Amino acid sequence: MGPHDRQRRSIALALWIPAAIAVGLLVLPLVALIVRAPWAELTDIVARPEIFQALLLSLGTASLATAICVALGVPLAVVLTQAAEWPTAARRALRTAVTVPLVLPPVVGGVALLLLLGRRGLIGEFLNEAFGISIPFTPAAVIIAQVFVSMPFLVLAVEGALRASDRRFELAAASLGASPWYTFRRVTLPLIGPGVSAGALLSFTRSLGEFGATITFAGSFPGTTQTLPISTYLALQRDPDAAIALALVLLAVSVVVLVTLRDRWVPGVTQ
Amino acid sequence: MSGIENAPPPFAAPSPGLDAVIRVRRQSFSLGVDLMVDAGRVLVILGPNGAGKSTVLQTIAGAVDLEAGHIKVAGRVLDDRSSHVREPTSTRHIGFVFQDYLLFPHLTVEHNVAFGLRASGMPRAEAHERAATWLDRFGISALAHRRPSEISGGQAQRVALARALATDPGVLLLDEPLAALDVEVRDDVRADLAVHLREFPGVTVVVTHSLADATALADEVIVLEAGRVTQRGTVADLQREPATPYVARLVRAAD
Repeated sequence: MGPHDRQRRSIALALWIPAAIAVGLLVLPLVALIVRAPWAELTDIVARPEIFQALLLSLGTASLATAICVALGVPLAVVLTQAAEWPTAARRALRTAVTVPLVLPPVVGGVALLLLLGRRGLIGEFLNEAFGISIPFTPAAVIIAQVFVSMPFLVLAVEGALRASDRRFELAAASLGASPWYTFRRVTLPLIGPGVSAGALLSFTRSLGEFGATITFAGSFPGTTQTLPISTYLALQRDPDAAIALALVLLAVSVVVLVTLRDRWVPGVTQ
Repeated sequence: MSGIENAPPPFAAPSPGLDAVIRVRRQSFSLGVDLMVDAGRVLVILGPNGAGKSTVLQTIAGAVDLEAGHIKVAGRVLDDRSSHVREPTSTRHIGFVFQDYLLFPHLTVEHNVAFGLRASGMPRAEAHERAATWLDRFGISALAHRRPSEISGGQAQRVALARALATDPGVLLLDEPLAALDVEVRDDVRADLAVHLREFPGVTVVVTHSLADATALADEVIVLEAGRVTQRGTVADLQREPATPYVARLVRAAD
């Protein structure tokens, strides 16, 4: 072994120790969760009406939020990739607006949503007076909070797919007489399909796990706004076994999504 | 030069084809090419890399803006800077065969060929019947239900040509149509391509850097170097009297 190899080995060791600690930090909590889980009573706990209700509410709202993210986020991603022709300031502003929810503490998002849509909010006051509509503390508020935090994942995934795709396919389609709209539906969308699927899955998991913005903006009413993460947190005080069971359900969904992403969809997202 | 080409023809008017006066500027690169090609003829643009050959095709297709000049096909104005006419690519009736073919990877061979017909509103059954006819003409019916990733390069080239011809374009543009192929199959595909181009009633413009392509395909040749036409004529003219060192090298290398 030459001096060079020895040097490389000591560098490797210096890296291995923090790397091992990092892995421990990421993996050991989940190991604890699995070890301590009340496996025997698991199905009984999940089948309890109040917990089953929270599960259904979470799956329903997260699915709807994901659908909204796709319906609004795909067009937004397309607009963002075409923004090259825009003034730089406008492009930066839009890009920042899209990514802010990624770095914003969810609680802040919840407060902001209240200030917009609450009974005395910027739009909420008008909605309340003109139509008698009040959004906070309803399932609609749960969905809006989820869309707010998870839309960026969808937009960024689709935007990445658009940037990676070969735009000359669009020229090829146009040369064959296809209108821009026909080209978008028949060529662009199918080509970025994997990116849309990946973004939708990420949005779904982010929506499913949403806590801070939801509890601030939608509260925690069993059956209408008490989602799985909130009910997990509340259960921890009075019934730890139920909390662990709920946490396991959320973990299982996340793992399924991760595996699906890795095996079937864009490599860029998980590798 | 454009003055001469725009003057009334001394004898019978040629059958209307492509009339293009192309002036394009991109940063430090400037392109100036005048083209007059009769319908049914094949023009080959020869030139080294970076000469602006592909830009000529993209300008005719409407993917690159003219700085000055015009593009007319069969008397129809597609692009004219002076009168501010600019047809989008989708209404130009131009067939484009790309160097790497750009077959839509998510569609089968038959759907690729039917794409242009479907895009222009032809009913599904009719479009696929026509696509099948084209595949038959190119001897690739057996590939109809394969994906582009499941066919060879030579087959992909035939599919790309069938896809472009199926829309019945007035002008067919081919950008280095043989460059992506293995040497072993290139001669066969080239001979095949020559046959199909001879049957095509519109104008064909082929871009290549290979004299063999020009010899097999061209009715006439222009040589493009650094954005300027340095020689016009037939392949025989180029061989007899090469106008520049590039042409001379090209001709010598082919001997």
